[in-house]
Amino acid sequence: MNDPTATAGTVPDDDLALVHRIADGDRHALAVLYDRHVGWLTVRLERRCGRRELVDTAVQDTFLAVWKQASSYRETGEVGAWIWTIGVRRLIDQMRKNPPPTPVEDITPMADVVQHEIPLALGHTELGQAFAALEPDLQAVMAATALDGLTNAEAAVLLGVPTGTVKSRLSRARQILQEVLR
Amino acid sequence: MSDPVNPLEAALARAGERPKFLAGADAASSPGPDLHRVAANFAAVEAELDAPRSSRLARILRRFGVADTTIPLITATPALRRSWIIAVAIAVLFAANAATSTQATGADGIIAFLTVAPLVPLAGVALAFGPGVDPTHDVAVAAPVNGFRLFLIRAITVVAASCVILLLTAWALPTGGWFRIAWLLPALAVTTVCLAASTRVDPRVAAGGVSIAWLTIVLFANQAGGAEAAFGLIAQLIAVFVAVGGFLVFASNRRRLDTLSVDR
Repeated sequence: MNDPTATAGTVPDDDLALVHRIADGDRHALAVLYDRHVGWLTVRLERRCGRRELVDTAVQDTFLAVWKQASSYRETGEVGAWIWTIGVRRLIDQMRKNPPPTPVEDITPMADVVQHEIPLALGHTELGQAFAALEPDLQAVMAATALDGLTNAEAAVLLGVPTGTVKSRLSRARQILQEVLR
Repeated sequence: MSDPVNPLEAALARAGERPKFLAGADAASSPGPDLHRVAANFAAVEAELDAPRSSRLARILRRFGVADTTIPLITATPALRRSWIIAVAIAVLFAANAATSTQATGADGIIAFLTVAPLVPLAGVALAFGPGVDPTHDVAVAAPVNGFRLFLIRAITVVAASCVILLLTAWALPTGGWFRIAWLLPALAVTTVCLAASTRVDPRVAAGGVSIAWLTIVLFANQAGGAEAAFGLIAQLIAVFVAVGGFLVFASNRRRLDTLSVDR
């Protein structure tokens, strides 16, 4: 489902080979990489921001950035991880530029992330269990910083709270997790 | 801040690597975006890639919040062409060099520079409009463009670009004190008078006339009381007065600018 082009014979299977082709200006390679990754990228961005038009713009900006930055791509880690790093920051940019008309207080930000992605990242480890026991607010701030790799300021935009709040929640969450892991 | 071998940090770092996590394993549990949306987003990416690349100046202007419709009016200004800027810079440097090779001090030492400097924005304004020099002239004539606004935007662009060159030169002059920037108000004065005259005659004719008038005034003032008389405080006040007057005439005749004829 995520890979409709896998049967096209001449296309390299390897994401890395695709990125090299994109660096050489191959539009078709960009289309293949897009088809391969747009599904999960959109899903994951929508878990972080419920506003569809911002997610769409972030997705577009992500692949524009992939096109421009492909030649400077350093081969560490998966291409998907690189796309994600770009994507989540483009989403933050969009959220920064388009603050919500009225503050959304009633929904728990990142609830879907915590539900779907944290178990995959942490699994049934000691940390995973300790994480599951945290309050939702603390889970959200940990998910945004430790797992999405965002700075405190970026996490603040994503969660719609002041940076100071991110810092204090983060230190609280760390304290609790430290206790458990000791 | 935190200890790198701390078990929490280590566990989080391991989780942050999440090798297969990113490859879409989690996306399988949620329905992905529909095909129409996927195609529309890619079409938007391709459209952006196919769009003509805007110049560096245009990107800077956009960053400063200049409207997209105004940017082409500014970037198409002939005075922003590299050839024009280089020619002007050379002319100004010659004037500055001539100025500093004399033994005189104060305004007298840099009189050549002060005399030439106001002509720089004036020449730029003269060459900013009209057939043959303005690449957007035919479009401007045919389109319902606000002539006053076009003139104003162009003139401001030219004056700003000229002032950058002149200020850099003035800053490098070894003598002159505050007289190094004494050309600023006269430059504004001659430019606005030129704009005012442009509502009646061809901008190039207007600029030529104003140039001759300017050179005559400086010559006579210099002979009567030295550079001090041509660029001193009283002269500066007169320049302000003329600049305001010129702008008022220009603004009150703004309607005439909308009827720029093709053969002008």
